[in-house]
Amino acid sequence: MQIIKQQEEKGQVGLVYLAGEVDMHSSPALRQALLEFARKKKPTIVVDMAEVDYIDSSGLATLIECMKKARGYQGRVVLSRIKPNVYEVFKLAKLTGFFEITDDLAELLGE
Amino acid sequence: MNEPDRVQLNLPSNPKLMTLVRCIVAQSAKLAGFDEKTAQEIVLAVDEACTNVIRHCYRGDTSQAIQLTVEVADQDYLGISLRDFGAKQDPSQFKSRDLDAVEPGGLGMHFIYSTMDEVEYDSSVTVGTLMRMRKFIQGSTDADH
Repeated sequence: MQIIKQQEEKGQVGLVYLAGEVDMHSSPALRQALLEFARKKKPTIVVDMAEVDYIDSSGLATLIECMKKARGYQGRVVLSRIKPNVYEVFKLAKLTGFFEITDDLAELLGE
Repeated sequence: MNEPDRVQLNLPSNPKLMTLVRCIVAQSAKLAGFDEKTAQEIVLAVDEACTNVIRHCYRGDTSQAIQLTVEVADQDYLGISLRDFGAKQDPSQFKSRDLDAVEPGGLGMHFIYSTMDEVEYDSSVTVGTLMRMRKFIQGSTDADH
């Protein structure tokens, strides 16, 4: 089962749509995709989590690493449409203030 | 008091199988009487413990053995025993990081300790380590046991 449902670039935005469970098994693929965007210095990297049912510390570590790399070039990382049960994990890790989080992907993309 | 039900799972140390562990633990937690939110917190704690075994005890080797025992005590507690047969670990090294100092690592132990009521490591086993965790249903405490 692939964690990345779709990956695309829309101008200044690198966008990855995830589906399933982000864990030790699946997070390397996510890491590869996000680091690719960071290497290209995408000003905005969006991780859509509308279909993510679970995330553990491996997944969080991947997102944190991407955020730190993006900040290195004044880029931003936005997590969109996080499910309530997954958002609880971010709360437990005290990461809700570390990431930019939105429920409105369309507005974010200017659509 | 009824004897708890025990389910034992023997599996290789392959991260792709953790989804099975999560399913079993999730359902077991609900059988024990935990609500959905607490069940998911327990799932996360157990997942992190298994991931630690794969990463630290087995250094990523996916061919080693993990033995997971789930103890379901209805309306009382959920017990988890996790046995590995790898390098002995020093529990005093198992620390979570300061949550205000955001780094990629160090969250697994935080999830374990913030959720489970009891966490203990037994390195006296001949090979590897036996980790035991318990979460009590609210109103049922370790004082009752």
